Amino acid sequence: MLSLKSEVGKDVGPYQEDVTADRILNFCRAIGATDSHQAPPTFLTVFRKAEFELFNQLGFDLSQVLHAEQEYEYEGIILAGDRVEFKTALTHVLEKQSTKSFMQFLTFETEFHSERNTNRLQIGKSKTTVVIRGSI
Amino acid sequence: MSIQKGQQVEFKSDGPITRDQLKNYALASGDSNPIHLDEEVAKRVGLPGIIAHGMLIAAKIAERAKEFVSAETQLQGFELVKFQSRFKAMTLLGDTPSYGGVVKDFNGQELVLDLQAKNQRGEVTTQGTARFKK
Repeated sequence: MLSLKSEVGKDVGPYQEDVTADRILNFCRAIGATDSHQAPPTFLTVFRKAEFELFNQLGFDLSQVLHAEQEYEYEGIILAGDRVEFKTALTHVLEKQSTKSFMQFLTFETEFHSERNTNRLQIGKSKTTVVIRGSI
Repeated sequence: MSIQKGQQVEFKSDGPITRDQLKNYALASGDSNPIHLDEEVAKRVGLPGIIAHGMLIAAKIAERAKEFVSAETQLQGFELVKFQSRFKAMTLLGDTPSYGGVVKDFNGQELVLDLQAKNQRGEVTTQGTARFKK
């Protein structure tokens, strides 16, 4: 597996997705949340299309990826009817090498905005750290 | 009683992880990685069996944090500003996680909860930190 250090800075997006009441409700039901008037904190995980596209462009697929860490910072909430815009970049690569394996910790950062009644609102940021393993 | 550093966020469980739950989460989240749905694929990539989505467990930790805050009159008006989760170990289909933790910091304007998901053997599978501000 090749080092991905030279790919830091690569980005994908912006993409836009509409948030329907059903989409929020289905997510709430799936996680066992009782209150569905606003999107739950981890609802931002539904907007990983740009991240998945980056995985693809960097040459690996979802089944090779282990999720190590996820961080969200919130500046606003998501409501039904919002159009969410997001853009993801590879921001950090940490390599760990042993005699048998080569692991890379990749950090992707995504910024989220929402269009609501013609206003553009800040929603927040996410930081995803994944591990990919490869043999030498 | 006022909120204090070191106060427990009681561990609570909503039952074992089921196939239906993982299927519904895959559909709702868009994460259709087959290791969460198909035992054959999971075993082929070296896993002991179907594993739960890490983000499903993270979602349940976040819900536990929100539930703790909404039950305390002193914390009315506190909003979640940051949520972090770190995935330490897998949660397998059929495992029964519980979610809880401790108040790490509270100063009247800001609350930090240190949270965990533990499986039925008491092993920590996921750590979470939730920061709320008034």
